[in-house]
Amino acid sequence: MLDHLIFGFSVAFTPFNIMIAFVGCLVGTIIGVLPGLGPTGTIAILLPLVFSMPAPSALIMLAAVYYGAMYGGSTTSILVNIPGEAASVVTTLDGHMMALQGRAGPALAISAVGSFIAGTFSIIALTFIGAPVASFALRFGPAQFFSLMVFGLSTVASLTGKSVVKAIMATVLGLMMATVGIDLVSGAPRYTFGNPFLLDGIDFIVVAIGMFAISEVIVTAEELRTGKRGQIIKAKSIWVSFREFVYCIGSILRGTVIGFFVGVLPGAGATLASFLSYDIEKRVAKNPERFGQGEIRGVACPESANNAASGGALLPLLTLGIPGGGATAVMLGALMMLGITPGPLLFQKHPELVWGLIASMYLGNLMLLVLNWPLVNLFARIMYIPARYLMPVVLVISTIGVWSLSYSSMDLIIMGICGVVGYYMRKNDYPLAPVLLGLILGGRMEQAFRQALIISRGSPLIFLQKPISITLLIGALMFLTLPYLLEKWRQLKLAREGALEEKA
Amino acid sequence: MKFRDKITRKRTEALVVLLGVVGYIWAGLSLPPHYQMAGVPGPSVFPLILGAIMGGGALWLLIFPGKQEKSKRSPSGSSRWRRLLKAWRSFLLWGLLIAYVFLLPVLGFVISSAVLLATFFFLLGEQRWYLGIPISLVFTIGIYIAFAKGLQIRLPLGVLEGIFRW
Repeated sequence: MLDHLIFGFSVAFTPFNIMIAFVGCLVGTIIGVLPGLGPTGTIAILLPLVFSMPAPSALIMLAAVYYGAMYGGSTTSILVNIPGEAASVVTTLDGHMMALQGRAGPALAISAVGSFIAGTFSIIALTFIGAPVASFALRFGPAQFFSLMVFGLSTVASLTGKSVVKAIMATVLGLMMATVGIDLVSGAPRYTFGNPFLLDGIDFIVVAIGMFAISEVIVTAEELRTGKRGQIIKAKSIWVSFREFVYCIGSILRGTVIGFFVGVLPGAGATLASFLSYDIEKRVAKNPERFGQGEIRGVACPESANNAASGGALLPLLTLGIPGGGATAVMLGALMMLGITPGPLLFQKHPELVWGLIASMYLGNLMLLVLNWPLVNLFARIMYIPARYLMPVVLVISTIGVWSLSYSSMDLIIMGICGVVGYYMRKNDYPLAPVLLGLILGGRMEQAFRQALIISRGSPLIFLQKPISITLLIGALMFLTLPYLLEKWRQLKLAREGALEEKA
Repeated sequence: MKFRDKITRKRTEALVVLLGVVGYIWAGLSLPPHYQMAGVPGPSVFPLILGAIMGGGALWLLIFPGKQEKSKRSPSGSSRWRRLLKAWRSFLLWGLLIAYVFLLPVLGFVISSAVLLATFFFLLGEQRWYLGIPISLVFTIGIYIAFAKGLQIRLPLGVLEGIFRW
């Protein structure tokens, strides 16, 4: 297996390919930094360039663009509180707080370093334990898969925001938005109100820009007027310090492991990985209250996880032909373009392509670190543009991102509605991140739910009969109720102690 | 406690959500029956479950709205008007945003964005018009060139379409 990998690297590491990787990563980062243009959009823009290249170079270019755009997406999360793509939604929580405290540089740097470490480990894991993990993932049928999504959504609902009920409502709102459009199982048009633009459903970017960008602009305007928005502190250090790195290394490794295994599950992808790892990180931390206040571990962990997940997602892609997320869907498209159908036989029939692909993803990852070492400095300076200029310009660019999706005014109007709703939710302690996660997972979640019920001929007991499924469901229930019960118990204990003291 | 005091903002919010849920479930159930498959859950089952959870959440907020908010009701009508007048900037921000979303395809990117940027710069605290207006123009044209020419994104020219054919 190792000689295959070395062979893959010998294919990937030619001067031309390294140059291609550099250019791809640079362009990906620059376009990915524009809010609203995530990896998918970036690749769509650059796809014509790729057609004219030899197969390995095309794959390398795509991988580099993807990594660049992913990193660009995290950059906007950190700098202006607008997630560039789904997997970096959770990075807004701590990343933007760090930026406001003048630590944009370290936040950007740790996310690049974490991504690189996670990428490296996930490729090593892919090489050595890939096969047994893939066979375990095959045991995930629709029922287990549905329960996994319930589990993922519950952990997110329990960790964001002040009130669990409100977080659940926010999650369900996202799931409801996901039901708009053609039902994938029966073909029924739902909630389209006869409007053909709604048949395709609501795009993630439209909601993300509406809820995050618009509310961010309005909130910034209010803060500027009332003087609440403090001056952004000039950063002392641009790069992450050695002490911070040591502090984060545990989080990076935890994020890597969680990310890899969640990424391997077909369809779960980087988004769920980033949310789950953030949640677990917060629970194992000695001081969980610092999460959400600009904790560097809150950036390191999810950023590592989403990168490791991209590596893990290669397994179901190559062995089953199921893309685990945006990155792998594009890779699948590229493979198809080259006339190669992924499947169990791919490893035997086309080892040069499989290992070339793995090596090219690694090259893209490496380029990201090399390239962003100097760029972090530049990006961190964006924070010093006065907010009164920065935010309106970001708004205009975001609107272009939404417009470029399908050139329809319907998208713009939905964006506006999401803006109003998002602003209201933000002002009233409804967390926004679960809405986006619900919207992203909703379609696949419903499909898994319906498929499971088709298998069981309509009996919902199927979710309780499978051991993996019931474990996940019990876990989900615990995550949702435990914080509430613990709080009640603590209050009861305090009250009893108070009563005892009074007696004494 | 008077009934009037029980109508807090949170309760109103919960009621609005409940109304939305009723509409959502009703629209979900009114799908034509030929999409239903015999014996297995059809396209309205998942929305029904979602509606039930959302409705449960809203009911929870309705029954346990948490701590009573401090009454923000102003004592007299005149000061309420004064406060509304003070909030004109917020109204203008929202109004502009909504107008932008609707008018962008009609007026074209350049005109609507330049107006939006200039007004937003002003509303966000830039007092010097001789800085705000040129900056808004430079950004609009720069963004237009970068996206329309560089990234080949079709941006609407709107009313400028006839004047510039480039």
